[in-house]
Amino acid sequence: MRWLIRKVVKLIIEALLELDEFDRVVDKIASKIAVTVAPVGSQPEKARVATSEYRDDIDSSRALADVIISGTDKVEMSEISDEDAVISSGEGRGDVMDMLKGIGD
Amino acid sequence: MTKSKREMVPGVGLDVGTANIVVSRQCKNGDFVSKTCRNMLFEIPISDESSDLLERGNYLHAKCDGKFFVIGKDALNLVNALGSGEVVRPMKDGLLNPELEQSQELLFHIIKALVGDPVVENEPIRFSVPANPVDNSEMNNMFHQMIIQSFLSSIGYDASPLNEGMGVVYDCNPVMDTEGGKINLTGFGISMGGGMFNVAGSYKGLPICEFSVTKSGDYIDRQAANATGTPISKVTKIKENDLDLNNVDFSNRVVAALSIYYDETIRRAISNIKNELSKTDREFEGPCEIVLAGGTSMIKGVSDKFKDILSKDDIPFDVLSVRMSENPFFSVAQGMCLRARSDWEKRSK
Repeated sequence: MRWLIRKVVKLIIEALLELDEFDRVVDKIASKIAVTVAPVGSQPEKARVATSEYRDDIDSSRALADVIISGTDKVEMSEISDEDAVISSGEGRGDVMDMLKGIGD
Repeated sequence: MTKSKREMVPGVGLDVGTANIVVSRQCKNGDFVSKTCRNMLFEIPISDESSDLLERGNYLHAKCDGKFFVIGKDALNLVNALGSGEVVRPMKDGLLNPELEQSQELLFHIIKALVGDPVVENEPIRFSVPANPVDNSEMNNMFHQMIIQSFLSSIGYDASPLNEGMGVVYDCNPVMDTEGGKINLTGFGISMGGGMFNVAGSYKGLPICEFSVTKSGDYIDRQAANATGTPISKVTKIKENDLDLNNVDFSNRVVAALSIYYDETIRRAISNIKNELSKTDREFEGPCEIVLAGGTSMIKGVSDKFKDILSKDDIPFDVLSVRMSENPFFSVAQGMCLRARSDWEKRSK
């Protein structure tokens, strides 16, 4: 059975190699694999290199973020207490706020 | 500063630093409420003994991939108490640490625990990003920025990045002294963090130059540790407790090494600042203030050392004064918070 599967896969690859669009297809598949697989090792720099080759960096980073964010579900963490919050005076920030309102994004 | 719980107005500031994560909100009376966590982890294997130790010691910790990670200052305390092992950082040189497995998952979990839920739908949050460094062209902050923005959006915030140095400017309000009077938000904010020096020049609140210089607080610790054969966690503790750059105890090898590397780091940063500012024809109408903030600036004598080195260098603008932020540890997050509040007020009109 394994022999048969290997044979079929080999035939498919050989057929694809003869197609003009093979490179484009491989690129497309590779871009999806790079985005999904690279962050498993938690190595964002490598992932960035992998995804930037296949453009759009922004979408790639978002996809990567989704994978990493989903990883936070596996984290169980003790609570950070509100008791540790520190209060400091905001005195004198009124002028700054007025100026900031006039600054665009 | 005191500890208490109050009603917040919309707009959050988040300083995602190499050494510390700080979140600031503002109360209705204008006071800032800030929460912080040291951005460091100590990994210990799961066992009945370790579980018991963490529970009894009330250590902040997380369980992930079959390991315990002690989080924040507890990690440093535990490493120093055990006398073996080293803390690891989810971030390195101002950006996500690519060498540490689970770094992003744990970092995001810490951020989520500190930031909490939005107080209004799509609450604005401004998070700090370092500028690209002038002394390392291979480092780029785009990935770091995108991934943190996506994470904050996923938990219900309207997230926008803001340069770390501009956070200092907004919180500390450097001024330029002109014949017509003092001009607010005009001068330089420098955030001396664990991974980088972030420099922002501002003219009436608008950023006019932003850049960073690599090798900051962590570099100083690493070099002093290498030079003296002392564990980094111990060097960090000595730096924070015993180092005074105005009065260096040269009989203490670690203190002496720290002092030497502080001097070298500040000198290199000022040299890069000078080179970067010399590239433009920018002219100010009067002398400007420079404000220092960030954890690496909090060692006694840093501002005097900065002034001393600056006075011997020929930088391309007149300096009105060099001053420390009133709250150097919280300045970036507070500045981010002010900007997020103005985002909210503009949206609410």
